[in-house]
Amino acid sequence: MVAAMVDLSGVRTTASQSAQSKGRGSVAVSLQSLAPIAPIALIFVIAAVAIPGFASGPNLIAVVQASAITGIAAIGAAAITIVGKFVSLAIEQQAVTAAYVFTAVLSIGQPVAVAVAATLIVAVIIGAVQGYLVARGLNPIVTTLAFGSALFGAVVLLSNNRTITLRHNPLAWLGGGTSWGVPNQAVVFVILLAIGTVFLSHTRLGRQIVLCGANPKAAELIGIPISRLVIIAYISAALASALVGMLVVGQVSQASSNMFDGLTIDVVAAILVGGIAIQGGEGQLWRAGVGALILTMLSNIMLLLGLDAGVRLLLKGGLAAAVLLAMTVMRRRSR
Amino acid sequence: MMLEILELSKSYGAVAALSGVSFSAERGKVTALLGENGAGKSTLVKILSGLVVPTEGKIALDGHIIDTSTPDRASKSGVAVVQQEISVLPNLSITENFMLTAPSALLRRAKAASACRAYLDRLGLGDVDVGRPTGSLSVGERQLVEIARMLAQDAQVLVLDEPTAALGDRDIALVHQAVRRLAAEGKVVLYITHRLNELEEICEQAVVLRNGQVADRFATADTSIARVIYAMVGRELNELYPAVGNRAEPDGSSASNLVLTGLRTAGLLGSVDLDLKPGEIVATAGQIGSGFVEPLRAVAGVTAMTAGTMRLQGKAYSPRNHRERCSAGVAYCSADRQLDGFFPDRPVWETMSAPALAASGLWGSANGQRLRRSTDRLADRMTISLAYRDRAVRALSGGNAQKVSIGKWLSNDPQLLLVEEPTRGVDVGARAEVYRVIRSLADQGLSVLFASTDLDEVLGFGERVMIFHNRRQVETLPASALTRDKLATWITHGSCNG
Amino acid sequence: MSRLDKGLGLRLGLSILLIVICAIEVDGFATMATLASIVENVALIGLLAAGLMLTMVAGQLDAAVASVAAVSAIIALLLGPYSLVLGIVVALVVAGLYGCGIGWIIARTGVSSLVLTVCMLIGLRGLALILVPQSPAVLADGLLWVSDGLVARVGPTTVLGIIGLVLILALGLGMRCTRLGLSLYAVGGNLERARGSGVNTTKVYMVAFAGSAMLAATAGILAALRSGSASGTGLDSFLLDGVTAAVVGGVSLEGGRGSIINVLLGSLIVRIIAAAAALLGMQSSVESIATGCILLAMLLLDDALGTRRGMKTAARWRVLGRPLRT
Repeated sequence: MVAAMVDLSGVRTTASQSAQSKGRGSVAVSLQSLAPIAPIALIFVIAAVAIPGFASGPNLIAVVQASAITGIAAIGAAAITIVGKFVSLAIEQQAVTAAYVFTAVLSIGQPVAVAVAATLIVAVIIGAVQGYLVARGLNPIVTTLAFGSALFGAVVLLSNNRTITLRHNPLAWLGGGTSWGVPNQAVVFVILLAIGTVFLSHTRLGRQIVLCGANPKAAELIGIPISRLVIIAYISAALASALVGMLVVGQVSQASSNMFDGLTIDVVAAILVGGIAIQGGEGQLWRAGVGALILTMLSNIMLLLGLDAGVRLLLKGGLAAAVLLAMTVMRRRSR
Repeated sequence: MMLEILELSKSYGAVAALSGVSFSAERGKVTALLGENGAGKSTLVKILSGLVVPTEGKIALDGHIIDTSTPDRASKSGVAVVQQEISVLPNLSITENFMLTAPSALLRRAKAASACRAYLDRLGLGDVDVGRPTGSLSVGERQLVEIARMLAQDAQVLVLDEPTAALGDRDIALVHQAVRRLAAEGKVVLYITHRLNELEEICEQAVVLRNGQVADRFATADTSIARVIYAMVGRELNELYPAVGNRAEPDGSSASNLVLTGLRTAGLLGSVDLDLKPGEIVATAGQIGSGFVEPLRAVAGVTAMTAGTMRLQGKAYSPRNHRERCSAGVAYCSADRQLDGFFPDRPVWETMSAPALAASGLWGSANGQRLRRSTDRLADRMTISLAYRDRAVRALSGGNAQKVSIGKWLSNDPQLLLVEEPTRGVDVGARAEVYRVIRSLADQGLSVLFASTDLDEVLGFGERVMIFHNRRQVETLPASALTRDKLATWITHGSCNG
Repeated sequence: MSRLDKGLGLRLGLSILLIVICAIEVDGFATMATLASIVENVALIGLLAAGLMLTMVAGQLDAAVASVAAVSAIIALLLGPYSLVLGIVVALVVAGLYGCGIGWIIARTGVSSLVLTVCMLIGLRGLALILVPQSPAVLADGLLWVSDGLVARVGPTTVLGIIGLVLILALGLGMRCTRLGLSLYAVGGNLERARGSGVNTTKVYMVAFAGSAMLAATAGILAALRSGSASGTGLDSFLLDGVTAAVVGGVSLEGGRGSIINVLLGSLIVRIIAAAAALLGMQSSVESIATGCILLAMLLLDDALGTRRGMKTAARWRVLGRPLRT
């Protein structure tokens, strides 16, 4: 116990200082809210010391890049969690749809602005339809499961399951490029995380989304338009998936139906491992980013250690379940 | 041969719901258990039914200590409880509800159907099909099914928690008959009621709880109503309710705040009329199911108005949802404020500022610091300590949580406050404070319409009383023209002569 | 009761209508071979849907059925060379113990079953890939007769179909004729009232999730024995197929409602459409569109019925049996 305190003391003081500077008082400052930061530092330090190749520049860039894709999708999907609708199971299908729409519009010779606009419009529609269904009271997980199946089938049908390759890739600079050595995807991730965090605590919309997740009945009674907020949350999830779709197309210059296999699982696991309260109503968006980073680091470490895909999946599921149970039990204890 | 409650105590954190309660209830007699809301009755019932484990104390039946640590063990020990909120499952048929509590692991539907037929006949439900889902029965019928299910369990101790609160005259007679028969069979019957006339009708002895302790015990035959009320309330009623402040006498010319003319809803058989002045507090009273909550819900936009007009400060008003109601300046607190009155895991200031935030629309920036400070003034008006501002609402005491759930509306500066059951689940000390706060708001011009099943509250806190019976508004009277007995007669019979 | 009968009549009518239309319009539909394959698949999907129904009736949802089925099938086939019976028994016992554990955790911690089982969906898929990282587990050559035996025709169905249908009907009988079955409906109808009526809710959840896991395992093992192999990534459409069949079969995600006969009819409707699509030479993507749309339509229908039954908006925010805040 004492050893652990010494190990983490540096992390703890800086984190608690930043929490205090926000002035949130006694509610915000608790060890519980700092828990996810400590594991990142711990994993990083241990891995850097123990695993050759982990701390190398190219590997770290690869980790950051991989976590950016999961992280961006998770930031959007976290809106669904925060508004109180658990998770979406249609994230990879949304991203695939966006990738196809984007490449298809580009390949018929339209300018990149048109392609981006078309992709975002499709995403808004996809998100709005799911949001409307869930806001009506349909089970969120089953609805997104069914919607994802229909969406994926439609994309595969319309594209004849072909891979579309771009001859000229106008988003290569964003998807594959770097700024000052940092992958641009990661830059987008960090910017989005910052925007999202500010959005949740400093806009009326963001604050009302949090309240809606905290207690939808109370929110409805005081006149918060809960259905509209749910629709907005699903739209933001779809938009984030669409952004991921475009970024990866920018990176690999093509769209194929299996390009995002496993993204949904990664995003769900990131949200859970980051420790966003799954019952909604906690506006700590940074946890989604932290979750994505932890999972990508662990995946990378296991890859370097030569562990195969099965072990990685098992660990993702197990870790997500462990954090979920720990948070549920802590919540019950605190009552 | 009797049920003995021995030094039973239960505390939630620092709050003692029961402290050292001891009494006994004999077999063959109906024992009334009386007490105000928050006196500890419901905690005692929960302990008997195994839903709550007491901090200290024991329960003995016929001299043997019995185990009521879980619902299962309680019912094996022979204790059966008809909760206020009945536990008949709406998605199962009557027979299935019977089989659920039967001991056999295999279901014999035909046998169970004929068995429960017999019990239902005893309770006067002879014409009801036992294959019907209980959800399709009336509230009264469900209550009788619940009691029938208890009869079938062959319990020795029967606890009835306000079994007649939701029933009409015919069903009340049936329940009374059943209760007398149960007592005559030699069972211990604990009968919880708010209706003091039931004391003389079916109860032989009474135990009064107050603030978690036994305040009085007596045989009902030689006790005056005054003694009962004194034992329940423990002080003069006028200490509890604040006096009406100085306010211009409402003459014909002063503007009305809310005018209901010929209002009808699906839940009412007659129309409702009301003229509510600024600063006035009006109560609606009636038995559960008498429609007395309907006018509040119609004004709140929860149930739809089917006929008539509502005018708010002279303007036509018909909210279709909570948003339209809020923007019209009408605040509404449902009876279930523990569930929908606040955001339990968020800091107090977020709940307090939420109505203003919602009213400001979705678009634009919101400064958390400013919102947080804006609640200081409200907390002050509601006498909520500033120290609570950043705590989660969940951590507050019941009374403070109630003040938060009502006081949050002040951030929106409402014209009209609608409250269902203003002090349900609030202990007596905090009740006085809730009354005082609402009263002071009314003295500043807020109109208040509240619905309550607590007759003392209706008379003490309301200036006028709208009386409901059988889903009709039967009369509206100044509270000063009513006594407790008169009001009880009004709401049970729908007229002033019982 | 009357609503139940109406639902049964509706589904029966729809099935007959679909059969008649397909028999007239689709070449090769009205043959014994097609019928046998439809019934066989109805039994397989029905097993999954019946398992899901256990958890859905209790007001929860087991989202991990596909991964449980995959792991169980792999265990059974991997142990096959020693003894197939042993393999099957071990797989079923493991699934049962796993389900008991999940049910116990859900009852004790009050964690959302949806989210916990989504974690299990991920983790157990990982376990499947660990057990067979590269090539799928295959049935030993000496045991290929099992595979042939399962698809041997018996009247209008196959041996596999009969095994599945017998198990499903036995489950239906159990749910209708035991107090435990009734308790499932009670818990799904209203958790607090069920507890107040003396139902041991922990036991009910454990039974529901153990049943769901074991039925999914049975379906997975039967599917693997039929095809002779089980891969780490296989059977992943089981969740969508099972939920669709159960929801088309009128099992409410709100809990407390559902019957085996309707679930069988729901599976039948889904499989008739799939068989017709296959005979018409449609791509599998059409099937996934159809499945998704049918499921969404049924959810909407269920919701519309729920609204007509007078549920308020707030009540519809209930999440699978538990109020959001308790």
